[in-house]
Amino acid sequence: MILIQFLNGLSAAMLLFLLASGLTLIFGVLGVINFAHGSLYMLGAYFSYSLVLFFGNYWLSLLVAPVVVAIFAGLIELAFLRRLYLRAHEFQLLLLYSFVLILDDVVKALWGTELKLVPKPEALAGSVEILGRTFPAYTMLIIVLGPAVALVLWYILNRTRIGKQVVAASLDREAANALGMNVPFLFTAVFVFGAWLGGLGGAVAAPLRAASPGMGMEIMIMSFAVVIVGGLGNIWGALIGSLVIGEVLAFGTLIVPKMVVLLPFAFMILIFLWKPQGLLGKGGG
Amino acid sequence: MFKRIFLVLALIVLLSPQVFAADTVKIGCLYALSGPFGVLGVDLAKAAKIAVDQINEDGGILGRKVEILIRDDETSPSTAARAARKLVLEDKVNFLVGANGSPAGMSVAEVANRFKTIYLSSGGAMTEAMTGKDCNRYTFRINHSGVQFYRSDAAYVASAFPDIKTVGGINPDYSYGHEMWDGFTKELLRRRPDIKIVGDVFVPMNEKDYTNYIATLIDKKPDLVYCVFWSGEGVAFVKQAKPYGLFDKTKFFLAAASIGTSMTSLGNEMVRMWGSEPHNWELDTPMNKRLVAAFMKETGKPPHAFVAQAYATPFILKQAIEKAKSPDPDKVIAALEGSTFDTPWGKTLIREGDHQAMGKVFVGVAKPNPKYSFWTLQDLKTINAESVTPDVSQTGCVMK
Repeated sequence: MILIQFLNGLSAAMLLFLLASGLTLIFGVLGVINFAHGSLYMLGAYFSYSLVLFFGNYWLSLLVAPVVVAIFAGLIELAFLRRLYLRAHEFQLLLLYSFVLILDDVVKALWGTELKLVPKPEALAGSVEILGRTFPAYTMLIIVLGPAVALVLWYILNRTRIGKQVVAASLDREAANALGMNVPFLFTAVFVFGAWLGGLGGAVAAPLRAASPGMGMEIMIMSFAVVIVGGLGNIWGALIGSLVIGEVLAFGTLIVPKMVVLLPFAFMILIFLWKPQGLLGKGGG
Repeated sequence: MFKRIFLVLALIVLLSPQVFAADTVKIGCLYALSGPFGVLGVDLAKAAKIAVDQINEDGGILGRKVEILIRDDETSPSTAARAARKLVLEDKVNFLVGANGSPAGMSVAEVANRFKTIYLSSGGAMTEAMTGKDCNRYTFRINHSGVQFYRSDAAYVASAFPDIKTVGGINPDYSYGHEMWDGFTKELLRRRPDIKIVGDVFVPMNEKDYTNYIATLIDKKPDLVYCVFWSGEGVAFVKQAKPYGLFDKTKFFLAAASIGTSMTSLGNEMVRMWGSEPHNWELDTPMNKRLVAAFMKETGKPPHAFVAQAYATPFILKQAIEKAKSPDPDKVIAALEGSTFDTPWGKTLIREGDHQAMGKVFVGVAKPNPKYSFWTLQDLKTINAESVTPDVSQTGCVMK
């Protein structure tokens, strides 16, 4: 029955959304495509592994790990990235990609090359019964977390002063500056918040997928597919894109198992041909 | 005059390491030390090192010291080939052992043949081709050939589960996964034509998220599932599948030396399943007791999967070299072919025609064991691999 596939697709979508929302937010406001976003996700997973060992408590680690990632990202933004905003995009790309390579090796040096298994919290280690089907309790957490994060994001961007400033800065950087908004501070704040989302994704994914070097690259590819399908710069687009890709992967495995890996990219190509700015994207680059 | 004596003495001292080094028997050892298969490879490397240490304690081989050089093959054929070539050409090893995964094993076999170095495959590379159509004079296989497992597994399943009507599979999507699934289903249907194959799910090699594949498999409603996910992938699979109720809804058979690794890694998180292993570590043989004591001390785990084979391989080399009275490859090949060797699981023949070892297969059910913190394989059925291995003439091996 398709219920389990559908729920699997939802949880994959929510993990993708955690990453894609950060990615799209950073692009929308800073105009930067954060190639190192997958590495932040990876760091979230590894910090989660170490913090669970340190605290002996999954929930505490879930709270702290993304914050550590966010602080780390903030330092990168302050020390390196902000010097490159007015330069050509290629420099930002080079910088962020260098971090990808450096962080991959740092992770191997600090944690070793073997997979690091993160235990699920006791309360969610078992299963739930849904309409006669057995489904992992922990995966239900992920499904619930996604919309919760989306709601928080919507609230911040639309109902808080800083959120509205962020939106304004994304629409017109110079005008926002002229109006006295502290644009550099906003940029750092957005980068840090996007990194927090990515780190949260990693911390949430860790009990499911284990922490391993190279895990960042895998999810980056899917996240890019998501933001392209949904539209770069649009949070709701990221949500829709995630749902599309998540369900395509879940049902693709059932219907066309030998071709399922192609499907997200097939979708990407379709979007390029039909609506290049994405389903909900703004026109132009 | 004293200057001259001093010079001569100095020369002797300087040259002597070279002289002694030429006497050392060097074994180049390749296993997966990183990545998802590292869970097994690291243990195999430890077992090999323990064996070499014990051999040196016992006096070495022909009185010579044994040295083992351990390298990471990353379960990758290109990495394994590169590392093997380096071991042979630069480190000048006398023998090669190990290699995790059939692709890596095959590439080491190729290197061994090209550079005329004896290779004892002991990491669980089970593709039939290694002692079949791609057999070569320098390659010997100490671990099982896939056929020895899938024939034993099919015989067991056919008779132990008379009530099952449907069978499904979930396996890694590469040569090994396909060989084992094809072989198992063919053998099973031969004995039980009443069984229907309802689903064969194959998971791409680098996929770490099995949940969609698990859902697909459960949908097909198999009474029994045959699975050869091994090492860390087997452990990850069991962990991911458990909360979907897979092991309650079907009888799960984790075949070919995988269930042991899962039992030792999962402790009390293990679930009810059946499986086949290449060794029964509770056997009461002196060699096995020595292995278990040393390995448990080093790792806290019993010898699972091919640990016993990795441990036995240096000892088999020792027995062969001493029989040949020389480490010369041609002499050792002659000593290996058709001979029987002492191993932790009993006496094992290395078949002359294809260089395949005839070990044992142990099939049973995983159950909690009050003596340990992990489950063990119980209610064992012991099968002599020789009885389930095709004749050399049927393997396609033509030894040149």
